[in-house]
Amino acid sequence: MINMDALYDAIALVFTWHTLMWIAIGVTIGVGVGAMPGLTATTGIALMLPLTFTMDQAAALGLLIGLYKGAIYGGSISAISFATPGTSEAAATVFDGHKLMLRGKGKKALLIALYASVTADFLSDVITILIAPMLALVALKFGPSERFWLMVLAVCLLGALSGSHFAKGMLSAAMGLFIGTIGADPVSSVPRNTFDLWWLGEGIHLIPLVVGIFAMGAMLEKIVEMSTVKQKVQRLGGTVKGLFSMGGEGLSFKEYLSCWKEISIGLGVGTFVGMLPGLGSTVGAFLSYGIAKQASPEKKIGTGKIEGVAAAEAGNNATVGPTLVPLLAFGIPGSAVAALIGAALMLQGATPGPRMFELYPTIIYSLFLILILGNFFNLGIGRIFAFVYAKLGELPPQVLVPIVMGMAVIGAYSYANNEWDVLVMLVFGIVGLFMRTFRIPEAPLIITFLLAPQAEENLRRGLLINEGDWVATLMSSPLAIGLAIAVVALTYISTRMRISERMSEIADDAEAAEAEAKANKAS
Amino acid sequence: MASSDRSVGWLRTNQGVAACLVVAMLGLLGYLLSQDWVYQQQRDGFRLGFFTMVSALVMLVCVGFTLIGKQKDQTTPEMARMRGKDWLRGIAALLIMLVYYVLAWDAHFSQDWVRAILNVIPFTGDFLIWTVVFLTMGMAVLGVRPITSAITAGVIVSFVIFGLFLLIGIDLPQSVIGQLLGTSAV
Repeated sequence: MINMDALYDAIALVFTWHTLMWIAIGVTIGVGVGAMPGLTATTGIALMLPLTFTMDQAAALGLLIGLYKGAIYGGSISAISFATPGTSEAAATVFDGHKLMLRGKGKKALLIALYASVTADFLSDVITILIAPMLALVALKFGPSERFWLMVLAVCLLGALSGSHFAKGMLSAAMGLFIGTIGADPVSSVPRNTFDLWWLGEGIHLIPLVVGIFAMGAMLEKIVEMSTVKQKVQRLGGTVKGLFSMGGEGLSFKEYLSCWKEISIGLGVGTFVGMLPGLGSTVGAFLSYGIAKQASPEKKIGTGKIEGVAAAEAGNNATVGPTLVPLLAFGIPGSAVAALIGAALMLQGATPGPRMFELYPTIIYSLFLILILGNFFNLGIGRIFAFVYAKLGELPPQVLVPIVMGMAVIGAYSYANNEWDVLVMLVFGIVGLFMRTFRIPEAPLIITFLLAPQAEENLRRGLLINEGDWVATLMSSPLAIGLAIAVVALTYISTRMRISERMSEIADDAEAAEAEAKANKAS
Repeated sequence: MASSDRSVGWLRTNQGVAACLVVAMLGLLGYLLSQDWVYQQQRDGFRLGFFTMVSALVMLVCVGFTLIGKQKDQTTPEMARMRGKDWLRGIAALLIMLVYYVLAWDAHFSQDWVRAILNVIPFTGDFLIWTVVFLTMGMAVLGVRPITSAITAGVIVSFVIFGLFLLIGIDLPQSVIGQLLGTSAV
């Protein structure tokens, strides 16, 4: 049932110059972030998150969702132009995109990447808008024990599907839970786990944690990379040379329509993958590309065909909207980006979850409108500036790293004007570097950190209802028992069948593609 | 992509790293078990340390699986590449960030000795000046040449960041240049 008053309010909020400007800024920054190798959508959103607490809800969502959409598309620009995917989700685009570029059809490749991305993104957003409220209605029927088990199941799923090692995924989740218990407990506000440090009494704030793990950790890794791989001196003068110089054959409407099958595959695969916690857009792109290749062998995808670019780009952009479905329907973020958008909603005073549809319908409708509108901004900004962004991909890390590190310090401090937050961010920077080096996925840590207070509240509420009886609390209904069995079964299957290793083979394909492309480029 | 390269030291394999983590986890568990708040029962009958202990135990179990699991001899390419000096380089970068923060924000973390040092350094708490210095030096140290390019980029980026945060309404420390422009927020 649509709440028309809330919808009108949302329209009035979103269709203002102020909000539209922030969507445009978000997409503009996002495409740039995506186009620059070394920066990902998560890093970009982590850096921008501290800025949103001074904004109104619609502007904050516009900035972050615009940035997310732009970054997922932006990765294809440097993948096509230089065979260096700006983000891992664009690695599948290299196979055909760069071959087209080498044949002088770079413009065609960039345009089909843009159109396939926007088409699949738009349609998957429509699916998200239809599915999320229905799932939220189901989720509203859940009691505390069902919600608790659902969170445990989501964490296990994240552990099983993130990274190459189930134990490492679960280690990350347990770290998030541990960090989440630092400070006052969520029910009785009694301080705990503070290591006798007064400034940890309030707990670890989300902003320094995400900025440290994602932005500072990534930049420290770049510094280490720069020192281990011999770097040539970067001369900045040539970077801006050749802007707007990319010419070549454009894309006809007929050619765009000829890719309908690959875009549909990308839409289906991306939407499904996006809704599952832990998989993400890289898996969406590679699965979609692989299926499209097998479905149409006569098209010879992989030899420099626009259909290959369309499948990969539709596959990764179609995950953007659906990744918010578990967050909005159940309050459980399915990916690091969803967790950060959930955090932005929390900073605005709205806790994501099924009750959000009742309590904050205006924010929900604003979010849906921004999801849809973001595609038009992505289309416009990508169409006009793709060739400028292609040159941005050449920006050397020597320039990028100090800027991002400086922004990380400013962001960590600005959130609460708390000097200890900067120290916390720096400590988590080194934790982030260790996690990247030892390949412990970061997403389960952040997601469990966000879920920890909710899980504790639900468990304790259940215990209160059942007068301290743990068995009655945890097994209060057939659904709760079913979810508990699913947790055990998932853990068993993950350890026996090594699902995470198989999923990581897809990531390995991404790395191999990148390495092959670099080798081709060098030769 | 994980590899099982025997040429890298044992300490850099999954087993080696996990062994170090097991020691750390046991230390953490020992510390937690010695804390009174862990056993403190709340009015709802819930022990305050329940989730903390669960998380520490799960961490120990996961590290244990990594120690003895099928991938124990494997190493990640990043771990194989990392040397001790690389970790030191990372820590040094963090310390530089801390110094930049202390100087640009005039932050002393309630420490008298830090306050005493800051009193003798000019322009502490001047965001623009220290950001220009940090960015320029950072770019130059990482290899941007000619130096004039690093200086130009450092100055431009500092002003852009300052302007951006001013536009959003986030306070940044007072600045001599900001005062001249009449834009200092704090």
